Amino acid sequence: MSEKAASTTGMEDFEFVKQRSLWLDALERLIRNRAAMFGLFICTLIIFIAIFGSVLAPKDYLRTNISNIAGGPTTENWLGTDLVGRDVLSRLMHGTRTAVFAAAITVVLGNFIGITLGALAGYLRGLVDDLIMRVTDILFSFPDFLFAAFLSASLRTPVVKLLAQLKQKTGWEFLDQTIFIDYMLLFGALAMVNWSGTARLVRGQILSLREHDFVRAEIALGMPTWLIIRKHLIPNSIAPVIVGISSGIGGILLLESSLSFLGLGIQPPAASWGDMINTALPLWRQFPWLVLLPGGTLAIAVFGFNYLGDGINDALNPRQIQR
Amino acid sequence: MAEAVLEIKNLETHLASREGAVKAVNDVSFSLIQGETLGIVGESGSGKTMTALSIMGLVPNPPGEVVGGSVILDGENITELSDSEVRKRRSTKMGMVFQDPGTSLNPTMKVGPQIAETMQLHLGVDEATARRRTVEILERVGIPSPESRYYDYPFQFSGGMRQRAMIAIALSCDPLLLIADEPTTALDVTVQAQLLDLVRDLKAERGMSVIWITHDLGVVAELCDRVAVMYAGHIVETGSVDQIFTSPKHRYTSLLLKSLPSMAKRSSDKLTAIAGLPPSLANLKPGCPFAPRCDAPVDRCLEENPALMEAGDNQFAACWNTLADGEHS
Repeated sequence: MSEKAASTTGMEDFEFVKQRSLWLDALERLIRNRAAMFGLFICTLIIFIAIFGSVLAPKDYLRTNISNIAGGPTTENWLGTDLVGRDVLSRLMHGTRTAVFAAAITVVLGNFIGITLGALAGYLRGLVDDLIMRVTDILFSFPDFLFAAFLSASLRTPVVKLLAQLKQKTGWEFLDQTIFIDYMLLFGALAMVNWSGTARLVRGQILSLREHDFVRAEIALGMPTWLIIRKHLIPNSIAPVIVGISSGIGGILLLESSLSFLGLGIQPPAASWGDMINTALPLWRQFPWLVLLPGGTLAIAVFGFNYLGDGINDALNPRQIQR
Repeated sequence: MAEAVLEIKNLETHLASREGAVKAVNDVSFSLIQGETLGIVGESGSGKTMTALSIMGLVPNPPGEVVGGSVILDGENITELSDSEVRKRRSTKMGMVFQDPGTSLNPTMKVGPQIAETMQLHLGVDEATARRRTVEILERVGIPSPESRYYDYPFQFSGGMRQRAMIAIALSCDPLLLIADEPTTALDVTVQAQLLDLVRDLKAERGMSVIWITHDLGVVAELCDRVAVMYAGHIVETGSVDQIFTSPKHRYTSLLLKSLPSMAKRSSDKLTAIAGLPPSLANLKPGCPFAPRCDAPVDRCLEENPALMEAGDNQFAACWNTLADGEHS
């Protein structure tokens, strides 16, 4: 008894025993899932290449070589060269950066908007809910792809103007570089088509969660509304969002490539898998590997993210907690 | 006579429905002094929970609304304060424990931080202090080895432990008034008995007042100083526990007590039930709401709804034909 009393007197004597948490359990289930681990391996590899691609790339991805157009694999250019003689491997690596960058920023931006608006709609209901949900309905009624294409095409001129003005004010050189503008437009367009699904998901979750006793209990404890939303409602509704993110990344990679394929995303000379396919497609009979290489890479990346997303879905599914 | 901590006067809470306003709480008045435990008993739908929610300012709106009367807690009229002012009074002046401990804790948040959070918010203490106090209070409510349980998730707690944690949260900011809305209904009797002991001890220790809402008369006899019997949104009888159990004056109270099983009865004896159903609160007829089910109604019962009238020493009953002394057996 006296030991116990002593242990409650000073803070530093505490030994808080950390026990297995929900997330740790989920992680363990994830590790036991082979397909998910395979997906995780691919995702890690892709992200690694995205981060260190510019260092790892054997050649300068922008340097053309007219004397070696569409050359096959050699010791010089391991995966050959493209139609203007640039090293394909280096361009693939830089394309990885574009793809992962697009996916990451779009996911962060889109889900931030989606979770915030969805949570507000679900918790406040009434007019706010109606307003937000009608906007998502309108977004849903467009085909995703058409909407993203529309956005990136119609916003280009105003964004270019805005950035030029910004450059004059701040003097930052990078603001009117085409690559930067391309990225801005692409991320903006992708995030705009991406948030509405998350918003609906979170709203639905919160609509049911807000009737739970623990939310009533929190209100009875005098918690302010924003704290209840942030600390109690959003954490409880986040599991399906995580699943949505990981399985949605594959879709975003495809969407980015499709936009670039149509010439609405990343513009040459910047590298993007979709753009690489686009440039090589007219001559695919002569140089099929120029289409197959970026296409195959894209397919593997999408597979990897989808397998991982599936695995996370299973791991977080509370019904599988009892084994 | 100590000063009243809580004084409720003519409280009226209505719920909107298709059939019109449901008078869930109808002209309810009572007061509570420091350290007193009031048991509110009644059937389902008699307005017990709505009374509690009205005091806490938690009536769901829509459809509910407190339409009249006053709730004076520690000298302030809760019904006149703004939402954010009422919010500040929760936890620090009044705490509430809900019925189902299984769902009253946030499943994704560890138990300790959930308790500490309330203290950090209302008392403005830093995280380390809040954690120390949380461990103390967890130990006080009887959670074994609270340091190691601090970072447990609610699903790692049993039902009884969760309800103990709920009590710990409600008590964390030292409220003057604790409202417990059937907190032991979902628990088995052994755990229930332990929790009743705990609440009784805590009450004596901290000198707080308690409103204990239940339909279990055994719990009331065990724990409460005074009892208010509710029927159809009205308080039909109040008195001390002794008075209510030994000489009830209202015929509803008497019938309610007769419907209890007792050790004196033999197993072959049937329990008496009160015939009929409680009236719809949307369209109350004039007269006493209990008259259609009463065993001895008089003519006046169908014409005029009786107010609470003195029926004994500090005992009040709303009945035109109160039981004579010794009539209840």
